[in-house]
Amino acid sequence: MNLLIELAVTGALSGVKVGISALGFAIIFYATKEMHFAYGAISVAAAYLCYWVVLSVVGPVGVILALFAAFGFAVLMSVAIHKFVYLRLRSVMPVVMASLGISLLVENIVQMIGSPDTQVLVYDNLLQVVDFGFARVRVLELWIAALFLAISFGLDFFLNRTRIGQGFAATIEDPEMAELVGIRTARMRIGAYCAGAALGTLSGLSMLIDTGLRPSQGFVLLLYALIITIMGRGSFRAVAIWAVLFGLLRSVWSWQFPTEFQELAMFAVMMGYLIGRDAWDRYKRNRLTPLPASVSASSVVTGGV
Amino acid sequence: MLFKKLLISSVVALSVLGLGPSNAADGLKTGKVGVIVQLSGLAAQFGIGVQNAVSVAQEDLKQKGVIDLTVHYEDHQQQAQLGLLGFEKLVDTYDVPVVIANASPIILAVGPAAEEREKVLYNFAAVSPKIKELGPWVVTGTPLSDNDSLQLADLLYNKKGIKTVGLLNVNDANGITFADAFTKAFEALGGKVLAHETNEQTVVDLRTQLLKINATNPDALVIFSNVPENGYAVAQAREMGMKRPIFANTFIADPENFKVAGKALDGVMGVTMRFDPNRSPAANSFAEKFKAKANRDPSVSEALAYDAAMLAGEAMAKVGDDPKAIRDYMVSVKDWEGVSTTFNFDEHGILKVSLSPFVIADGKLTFPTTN
Amino acid sequence: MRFLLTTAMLIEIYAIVSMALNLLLGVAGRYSAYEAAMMGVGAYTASLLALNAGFDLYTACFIAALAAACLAIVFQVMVRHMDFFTFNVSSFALQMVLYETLLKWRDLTEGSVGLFGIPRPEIFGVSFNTLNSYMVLTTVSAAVVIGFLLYLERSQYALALRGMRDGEKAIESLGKNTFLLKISVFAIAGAATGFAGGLLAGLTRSVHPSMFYIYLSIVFTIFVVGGGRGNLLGTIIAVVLLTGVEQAITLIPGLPVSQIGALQRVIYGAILLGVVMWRPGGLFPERPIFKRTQYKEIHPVDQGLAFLGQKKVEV
Repeated sequence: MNLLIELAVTGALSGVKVGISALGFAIIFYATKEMHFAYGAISVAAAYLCYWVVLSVVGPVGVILALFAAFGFAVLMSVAIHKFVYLRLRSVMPVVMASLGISLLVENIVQMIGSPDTQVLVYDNLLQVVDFGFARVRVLELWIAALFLAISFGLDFFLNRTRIGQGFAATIEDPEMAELVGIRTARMRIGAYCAGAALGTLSGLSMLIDTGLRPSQGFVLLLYALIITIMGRGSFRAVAIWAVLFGLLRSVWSWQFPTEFQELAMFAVMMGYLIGRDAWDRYKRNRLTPLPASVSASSVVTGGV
Repeated sequence: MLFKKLLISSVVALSVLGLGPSNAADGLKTGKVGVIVQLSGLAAQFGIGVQNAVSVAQEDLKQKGVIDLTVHYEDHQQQAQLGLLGFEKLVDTYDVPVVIANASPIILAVGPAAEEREKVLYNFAAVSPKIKELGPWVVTGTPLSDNDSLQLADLLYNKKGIKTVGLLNVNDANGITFADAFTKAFEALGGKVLAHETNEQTVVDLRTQLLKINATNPDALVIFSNVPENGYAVAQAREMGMKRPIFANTFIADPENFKVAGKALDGVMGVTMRFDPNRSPAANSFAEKFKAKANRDPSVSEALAYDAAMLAGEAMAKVGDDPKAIRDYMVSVKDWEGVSTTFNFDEHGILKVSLSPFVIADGKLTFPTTN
Repeated sequence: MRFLLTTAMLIEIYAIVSMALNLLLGVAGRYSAYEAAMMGVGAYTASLLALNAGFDLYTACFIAALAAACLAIVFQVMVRHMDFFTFNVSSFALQMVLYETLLKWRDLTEGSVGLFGIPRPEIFGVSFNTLNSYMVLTTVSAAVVIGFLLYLERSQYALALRGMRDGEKAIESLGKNTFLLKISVFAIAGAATGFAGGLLAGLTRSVHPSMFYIYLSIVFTIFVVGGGRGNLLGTIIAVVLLTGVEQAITLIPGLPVSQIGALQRVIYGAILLGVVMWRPGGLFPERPIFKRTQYKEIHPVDQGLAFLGQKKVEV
């Protein structure tokens, strides 16, 4: 039982780390319907920029400059890609191809400039271990968990309780109607890219301190974020919950089954879930008699996801 | 008449230009080798380290008046088909008599091609025991995993009295072959592997695996992972409050591990070839020159790569560029002093070397005289 | 010379897979991200049959093609109604599931150690063990497969696929079974890809999971998009050109070898982006299905519903 609790805590914390990037990708995808495959590469590139600035400018000034540089780079790059590439292309498949191309470009340019070694920023106070008795957790992980909770609740509050947030939610749900009622959906989309890029950068920075950074990590970051976003199906709450569940299930799988099959199980379960969900949706649509309201409770479905 | 003149001048030109080892303008013999390592993608830092080590060897060979060695590189990116393509390119384009390479999948894929083309394939880092089956054209300048693991099992069971272990290995050819060989050797001695976990290459969050190993309460933890995964494994194990002894293979002493794990590495034990920069003036000189190029201390793999280039260069200087003669020279050396170890090869062309137990203390490998 | 032969064979093998992907993406309008893994399934099936079950490698290649086709059919049956995004993610997931299976199922595939010593084929007493002879076999096989795919591209079947791509409902209203069309095109593409995987196993005489990682799927996508979606001949030219570019990069004077791999991928990324932005049809866009030589006149279009009152004319 002790092992199960420890695995659950470890898993939940790893899910939370993925959750921040997943929320960022979800904000972009739900608002724009653009499959921004370059998301991971840009997040990692921003983290590299932070690392290089911190090394070049020593002290707290260096850290502040580095953070500005990292966030600024990610936001500007993402918005520029949206405005000058994706908007020009309009159709889904070309956007996918273009974003794949940009992802390859960014990742490998970073590799050419940087070193293939793992780059890590060591902050001893963040790496202190806190012993809760049932689990030992680092201060860094507690901070990431706190950030994740703040972002999740903050996003929820923003979407439901603020005017701009409701405009954003309207853009996600029905962009044409939102435009008709006077919501500036183009600005909302740019805002989505800004917010998404910022969260991606945050994720990259946490990797820089936690496990170290390599150029190829952008793809892994993107893959998990993409999976959770699709499973979230238009709901940010679902994305946040799925992120934690994802980490939890991966870790708890190891309680009884070989750890080496974690990834295989995760992808198989994910594929099974998508297939099952699709079949269930079709069944609901094709039924002659409607299902009871509690069973057919709809989530906010956008873009057919 | 004109045709005859052209023919003769072509022959002269060719012999001057490069059916080497020929002599450079300053009278120094010239020769060429090919090197196939991972220079981009996964684990590229190993390949770049090797590149630095080989370039130090080039300089040393020239400085000592042995041979002016030209090195041609190919990048295998850890993929067998690229390794094979790189080998064919090196042989077709540059006609190298010797190709130096690493990584078990690459060696196992290129080995048959080396035999077909009768070129020497010098393996300085791949450890799969299957390499023994590749035939005489593959020379292995590193102990294979069965030898390494046998000595580690002996250290644990017989010398340290460790009866049960938890095992963590990276899921690649190296990690798997080490783990399999160790498990076989340890269980043959009477030990038990209570938990066996694996990690993927480049995945550095190993807490799940370490928790599972911890839950079985073994006497010791044994790690066969890459750099820096093994460094993270040690750091995270200590973070979890694991106080049991930790053993690892030679990769643990890589400078990158010290960057990520720092003091947590103190007390880690294992067996390794005794690459001690202070073992000889040549070793010291290599370590310093490498540090000047790479901005860090060399690892054992890099020392082995240096020795590979030095041995190949010396062989070419002595016997010319006939691959068979080079191969025969290499495997017949007796007590050849490299910077990594003293080289003697067995009948399969595999390095015979005894490994020394080590302990990491104050950020470096130490070799205690008593265990 | 052997380097050129090996490169040529790799081009042939990659051309088969890329053309199969183009049949899916360009002609049928269905993107699949699992081509690399499917190639791995073919390679491992052929290798295991050749190593452990006594099959000749060439025979094993056909069985591998069948296995890959069956896998593709099963997957397509499960995902046939999915929307574009969900289907894309599912195909990524399948790529990862297959890759992880090849990597982790040690009892069958030897996992990260890989399979080695794969014997090259011997057909009717003729051994194809040497590189030159294997080159002949690969070239003939590739020519047959590529020829078949090119024939298919101009057939009625491809016409139906294009119809499904451009208007699925319209083609259904004409009585075409789009479900069968999807199943069949994925089966054909899967078979070709699996067969190519078997040929690759014979070339390298070894297989390892790292040969079939998702990055290879992206490379095939670049070949298809760069060459021209819907134009299979363009794909062949793209494979040759891009492989040439890849090798040309290695000849850039002064370029450190450690940067070559990254620069190759930068160029691939730039090509993909550039083609999509400025030449969306690819270097060789899809050719029109019908030749218009007999239809030289272009009749002006009347406004509104005036055409209803007109006599029917030859168009």
